[in-house]
Amino acid sequence: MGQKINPTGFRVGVIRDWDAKWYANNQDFANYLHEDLRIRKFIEQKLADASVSRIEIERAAKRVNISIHTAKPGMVIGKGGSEVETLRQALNNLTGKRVHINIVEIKKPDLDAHLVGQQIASDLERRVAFRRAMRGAIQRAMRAGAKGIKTQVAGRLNGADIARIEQYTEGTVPLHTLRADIDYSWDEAATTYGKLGIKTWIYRGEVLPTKNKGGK
Amino acid sequence: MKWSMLELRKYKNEPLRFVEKLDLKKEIITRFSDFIIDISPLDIKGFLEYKDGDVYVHANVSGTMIVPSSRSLKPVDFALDFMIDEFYTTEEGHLERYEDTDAVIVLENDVLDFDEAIIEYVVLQLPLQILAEDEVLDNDLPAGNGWEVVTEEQLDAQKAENQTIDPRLAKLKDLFPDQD
Repeated sequence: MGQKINPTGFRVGVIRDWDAKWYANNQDFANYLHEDLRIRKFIEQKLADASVSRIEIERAAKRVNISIHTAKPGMVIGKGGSEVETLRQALNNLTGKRVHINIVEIKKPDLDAHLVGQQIASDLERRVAFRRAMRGAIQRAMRAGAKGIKTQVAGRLNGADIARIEQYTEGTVPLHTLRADIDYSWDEAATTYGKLGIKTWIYRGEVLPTKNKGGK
Repeated sequence: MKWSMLELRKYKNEPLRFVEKLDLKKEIITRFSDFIIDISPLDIKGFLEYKDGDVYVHANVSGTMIVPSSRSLKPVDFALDFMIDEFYTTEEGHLERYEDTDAVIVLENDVLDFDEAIIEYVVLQLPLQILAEDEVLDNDLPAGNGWEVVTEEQLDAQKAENQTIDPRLAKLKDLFPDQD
């Protein structure tokens, strides 16, 4: 069986940026890393229904900048900003630092693998037939301008006794091409028959190098 | 709209045509109240054919529903107009007859529940993001104490502005003065 690298990790530093950006001395590194993990876990739990795709963390002195990429900023903000104020306060207490939150509105959510995967998962949890859920997601992504998409669902599909894997592809997904902007996500749906694993790959086109402004 | 497969056998030679107005509000709101506020009765128009133990259904569904805006949660009208092209079979072995691109649903019993199919399709039509008309044009995004909503472009611009070299590494630049 071929060994497969995570398409996101494969592209970090080439066409993708890191989700955490900070520098720390040896004695602080582990603390900051665990604090990052706590922040991510807390936000993911608190905003489970808010279509959160990515969480970026930047640190500067006694300040933490958190960018929450979401398709539904309204769910993060709440009525009159009440939800986000509570969230910021909770993060201040969790980290003991001053937290600034950037809520980044995703322009094309149908091209975001994590959001598409989450949507398939929530459809499956609501007992939508898995073939319909997968085909719906593929159609939406292609309509939104994806060059290709692959979705895979694994587990006890439609409650079958024997677990199996089914996948659908449309367009191309060139995993070996580093300049190909491929977003990948793994999500889980909790159904009455157990967990279903959902993998999503979305090819959004090539990222070509830009010319240096100084001409060098 | 429910039919038993036995009942549909008589449509071997001639398709069953249907034009109906279907009110599925109660079922949809009960199951999906978190992201559908209201839905009008749906206009269903189409036909079904019975062939070799399987059923092919083609239908056009239209109507409107009200969903919360992704940005402000205020109600937004969303027009529904979609096609359903599906094959239904009771035998798992019949799946081999179809292409990968065909939508084939294996029925658990002898009943084809088309209401359920329509409900699922309505939910699948929901976009991941929906904005009210004024919000699409409005660039004035909400902000508060210690938080702000920004677009992806604004975040990129912010990042480019704040990109500074770590002062501890700044001296490295002097190592090769002739290179950028």
